[in-house]
Amino acid sequence: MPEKRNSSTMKNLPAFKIASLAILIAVTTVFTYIIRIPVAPTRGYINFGDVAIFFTAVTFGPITAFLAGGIGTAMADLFAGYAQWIPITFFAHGLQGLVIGLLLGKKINIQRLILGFLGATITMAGIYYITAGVMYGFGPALAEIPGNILQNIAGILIGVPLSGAVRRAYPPIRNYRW
Amino acid sequence: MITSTYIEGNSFLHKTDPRIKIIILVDLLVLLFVPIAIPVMIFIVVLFSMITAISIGFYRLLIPLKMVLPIVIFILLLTPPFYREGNSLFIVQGKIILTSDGLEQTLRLIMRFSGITVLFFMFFATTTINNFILALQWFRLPYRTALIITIALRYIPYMITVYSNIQDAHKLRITEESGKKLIRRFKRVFPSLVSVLIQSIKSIPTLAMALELRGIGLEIKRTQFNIIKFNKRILQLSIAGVILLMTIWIIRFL
Repeated sequence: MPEKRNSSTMKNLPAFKIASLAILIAVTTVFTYIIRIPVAPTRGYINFGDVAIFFTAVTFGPITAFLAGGIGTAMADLFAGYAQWIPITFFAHGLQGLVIGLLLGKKINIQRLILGFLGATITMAGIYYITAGVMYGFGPALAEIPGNILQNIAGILIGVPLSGAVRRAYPPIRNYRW
Repeated sequence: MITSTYIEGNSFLHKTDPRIKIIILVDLLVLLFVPIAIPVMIFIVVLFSMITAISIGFYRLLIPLKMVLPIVIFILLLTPPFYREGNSLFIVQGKIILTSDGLEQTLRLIMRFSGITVLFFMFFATTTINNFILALQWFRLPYRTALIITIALRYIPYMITVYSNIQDAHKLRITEESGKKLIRRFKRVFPSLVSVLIQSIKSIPTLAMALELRGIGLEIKRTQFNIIKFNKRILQLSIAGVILLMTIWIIRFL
């Protein structure tokens, strides 16, 4: 007799974890590498990698956010031609996802949002600053901090409402957190 | 499969085993971080830049170097002010601009950063992603991790297509606004992101079922590898069943 499964029991299966991680890594890579919005004053871009990480952390939990955020952004670096950043990106964005997931928890309120944003920014920008400092000097590495803070602002402002919108449009996702 | 990082070729580097390339890459990265003499550092970077240029072409090597040029300029401008010791090399109106210590540190950081860039570019330009994952598996990367990365690579082009189609559909429905303001741009892209995410997440259960049918993640073996062992109880039940049937058949005639 075939086993009856619903989304809440399915999330504990190894195959479901493999599938969800693979899909979320692909989502993070596409959000980082493809979806970008130009910022006029700096002539730079805001990529949506941090949006995907905030979304994954809020919707799927800290472990998924660590793996999907780390591997997804590292893969985006590889395809964008910044392969030298792969190990650093993996830890910076992976730990950023883990910290957001742990600090925000399952029920979000304004205090947790502020704490999550601060934790994510300090983790990500801090790791990038220290590693970039070791690689090419702490003076030049300072130039990257404003960009990293901006990325986190975009991440929390879009990623958290995005999670709410997706939950409303596709309710089974509520049971996908593991 | 995305192959944008790999450059087709038949060079010595292309033919080298990816495992050996990983070991050499790690060794050279360590070497760039230990305090070795600047001329040795320059020699390593120039040597591997030349090997890369011979293997994949000089103009292709310029691509990653052009990408890191802004950081190299930052290093040139921002490193010397932090190092004031050593002999003064460049003085403008009594102010020391560059010292021997500052020059050494600037050269070291530039060589380190461009060396790392060249080495990573050399590796990924001459190694396919499949070979890279196989090499990592040889270095004990768990099978499930390799599988996750392989599936993700398969899904990236699909998601790019989905995003592109959704963007096109939204453009037809939403009137074009003058999108100079950042918030307006974010608002315009938001519905597309929701659609892409729902489309992607809906495929998770289907993919999970497909993986299970292939025997991945199951605690028991795939059907074809499962052998039910013979035991006495089956024989006893079979004989009992036959006796029961025969008894019913005989009773019919009584």
